[in-house]
Amino acid sequence: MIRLLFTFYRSTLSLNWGFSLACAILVFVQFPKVLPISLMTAGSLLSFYYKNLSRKGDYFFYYNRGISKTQLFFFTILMNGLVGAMLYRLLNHVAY
Amino acid sequence: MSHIEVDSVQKHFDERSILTDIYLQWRTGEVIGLLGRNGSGKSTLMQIIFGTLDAQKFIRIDGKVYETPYKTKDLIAYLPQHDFVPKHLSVKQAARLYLGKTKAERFLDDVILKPLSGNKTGALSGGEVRYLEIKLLLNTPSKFILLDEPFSGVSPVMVEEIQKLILEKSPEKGILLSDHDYRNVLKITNRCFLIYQGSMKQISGKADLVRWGYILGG
Repeated sequence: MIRLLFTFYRSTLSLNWGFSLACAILVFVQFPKVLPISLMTAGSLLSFYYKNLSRKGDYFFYYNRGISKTQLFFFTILMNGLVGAMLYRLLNHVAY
Repeated sequence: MSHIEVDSVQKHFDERSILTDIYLQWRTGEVIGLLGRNGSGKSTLMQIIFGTLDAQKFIRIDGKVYETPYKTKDLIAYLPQHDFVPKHLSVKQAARLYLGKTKAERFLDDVILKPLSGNKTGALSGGEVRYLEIKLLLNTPSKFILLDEPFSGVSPVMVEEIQKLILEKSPEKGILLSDHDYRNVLKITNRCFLIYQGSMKQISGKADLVRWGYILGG
């Protein structure tokens, strides 16, 4: 089950990172803060929204192994939260 | 032997009744056919049984009532009309994720899948993807398998291969399949039903399909 959850999580990363990097570059001065915060919040939600919109059929790949959309959503949010929090500490330690 | 019972299914979209008081039951070891015109509610019924579409319903598997059967692992699997294996995965990755490393090796030792194992599923033909998805679902431990249009857009040779897969696994699975290709459905099913004006009609041969206006007589 955990491998399937990670497979879903990985499939949301490119959009989340792309969006979050773009946001962070736009507000360059606050880069170390904006990047991890966006990864944990807006980027995370946007990538999930995009999945719902354009790759809806993929959910059956997970449903067929007993994994619901709610489980996929919370796992993705949890992983982004962990990665974002570590990145926040790291970037802010280096920058300030 | 496991048993599924689907009772009192009713589904309305706005003012329109799609399904009215559907009853269906089958066991592992059986292949059940489901026919019906476009928009008659075949896919709707399958999604209701699987648990991804809300409706008034009563689903009991081995005596236990389920609201959303798909959330119970290894109980039920569903092949939707569209592709469901994410396109970024290779055939090998999809097999390993579903079946584990050892079982995946045996799974891929197959005339059709072996040469494709390194390919991304997004690069496969429609028939190859259908074959992969059906074989994946039939090899999961799920007792009941719902196949929505498994022969759609598939070449005749591939249809025969898919039929072989279904028949090979049918002794241990309870399979419900729907397709417009009624000849191929009748060929491999133990019992067959037609959804006609929201209710189920048992079909015993081509004459019944003519009677209910699904095909033309003569």
